[in-house]
Amino acid sequence: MMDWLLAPLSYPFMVRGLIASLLVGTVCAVLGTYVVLKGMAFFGDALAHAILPGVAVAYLAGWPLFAGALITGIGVAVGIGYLSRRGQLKEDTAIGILFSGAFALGIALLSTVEAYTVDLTHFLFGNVLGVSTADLWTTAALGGIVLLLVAALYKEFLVMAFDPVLAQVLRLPTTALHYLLLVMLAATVVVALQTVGVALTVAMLVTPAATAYLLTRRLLPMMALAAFLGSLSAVAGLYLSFYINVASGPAVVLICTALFLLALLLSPRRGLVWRRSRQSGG
Amino acid sequence: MRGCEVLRVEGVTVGYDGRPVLEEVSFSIFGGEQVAVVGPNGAGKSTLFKAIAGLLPLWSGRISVFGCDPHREPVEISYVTQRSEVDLSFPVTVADVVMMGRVGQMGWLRWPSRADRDAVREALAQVGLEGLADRQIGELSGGQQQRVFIARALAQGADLLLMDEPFAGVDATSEQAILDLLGRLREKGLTILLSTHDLNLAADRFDRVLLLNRRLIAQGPPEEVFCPEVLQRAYGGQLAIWEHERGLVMLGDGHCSMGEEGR
Repeated sequence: MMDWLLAPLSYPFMVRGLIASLLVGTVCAVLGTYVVLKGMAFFGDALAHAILPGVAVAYLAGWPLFAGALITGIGVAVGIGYLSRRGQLKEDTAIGILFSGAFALGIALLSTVEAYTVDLTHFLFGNVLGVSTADLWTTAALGGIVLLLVAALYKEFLVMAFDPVLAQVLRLPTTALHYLLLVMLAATVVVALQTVGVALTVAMLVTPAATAYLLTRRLLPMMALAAFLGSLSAVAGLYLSFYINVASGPAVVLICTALFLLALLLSPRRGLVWRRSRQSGG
Repeated sequence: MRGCEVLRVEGVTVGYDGRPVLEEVSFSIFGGEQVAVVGPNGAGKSTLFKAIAGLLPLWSGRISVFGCDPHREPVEISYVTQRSEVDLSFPVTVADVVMMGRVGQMGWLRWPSRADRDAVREALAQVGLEGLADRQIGELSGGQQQRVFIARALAQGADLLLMDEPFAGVDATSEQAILDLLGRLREKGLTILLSTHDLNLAADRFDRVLLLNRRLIAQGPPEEVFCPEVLQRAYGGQLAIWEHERGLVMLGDGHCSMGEEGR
């Protein structure tokens, strides 16, 4: 068993991959708590797809990918926030327009490269085993800033998420906090890009948080459990991919999904089994 | 505070999407008063509360609370909205919800202090829910949830309390608890503006009544406002009135559609 666990660690790329997975699993799950509670899953998915053109431009120009992704991500997040707040379009329509347009632009840009399918696959589905030490530092810095902000503004974000009217009555700067959360979400998506890729990022945001939602009844425990489940899934998925040779991103997401289904069945109070036995018990 | 002008509304016109809901409404509320706002569905009661709380931009007119403009300056107002506006499956306990009322006082980068926790406990005791502090908010009955939101407004500690339809869809126990609370708050001198469908309750328990239907139809002590001619002007044919040995008995449309407005 120990050998089984330790064997992958003799490869430096696996060690870097594991550290990256832990970071991504934690940061995504913590911010994902707000995504789940505020019903922003579609927004998170769109944001992940919409950063592709920024990544493509950075890639073609030889700039750091993180920078390209972060700038586009923040731009798109603020753009969607602005369009939907103006009230001319419903939010999901605004998201749909910006997200598909930006995604198409990203693929169009990448398709100008000759052997683009390999690179595209990495962007779409992640390449956690290709994480460099520099990537790792960027991931840790961005993720650390996001987690710090979540902790520092915990009570303000809680009021905003639970009761936006109270936030206004208490004269909290609701617009600034709203945009800050969107920017934090953009940073989180960028962090997740390398590990699970554009297409599966939403799973890292939503699935561990949803599992934790089924098992807890206060925000702080929900965040802590989501972070634990997210990082556990990320590490377990990586081992799975090492031993049975499936792609790492999908392996991570499949473990997240399995844990969710387990909680859905067995959770006390909210689980299907519990409800069934309550019904039959009268 | 008692007897001074706490709230002044002057010629206020306000609405949504280019459609006015309230026009040219003017009145004042004085310290320690308990005032009921009544009127048919769609009369603009909730809109009036939102305007006073500074949540809706005024089209014209002025509102001042303790001499300040709530649309420009931070003014302490506690506001109990209709319950349907929040997500009750949210993972927060009753105590967490009440603690939210303290967030304004706590300030940035602070966690709740002992004083904050005491204020939460005291507020929950005021509404008779001290035993339920650790329950998830969604596990409570509608009436208990309403009392939690009132406790949150009390924990906020403002001197002006706005309550929008606190009795809508509430069970008898909670209604009694809220009425008892109003009695205690009267002794404390808290100023309260409350909207309700229940004209009989407004007549029995409040110092003054504002009768609203897009405009302010009448204001004054209940015995002056609640006479058939005045009520007819606000409700048209939607109100049945009987003369009773103890006074008027009134049945408005609100009784047939309790709590429907917020859904």
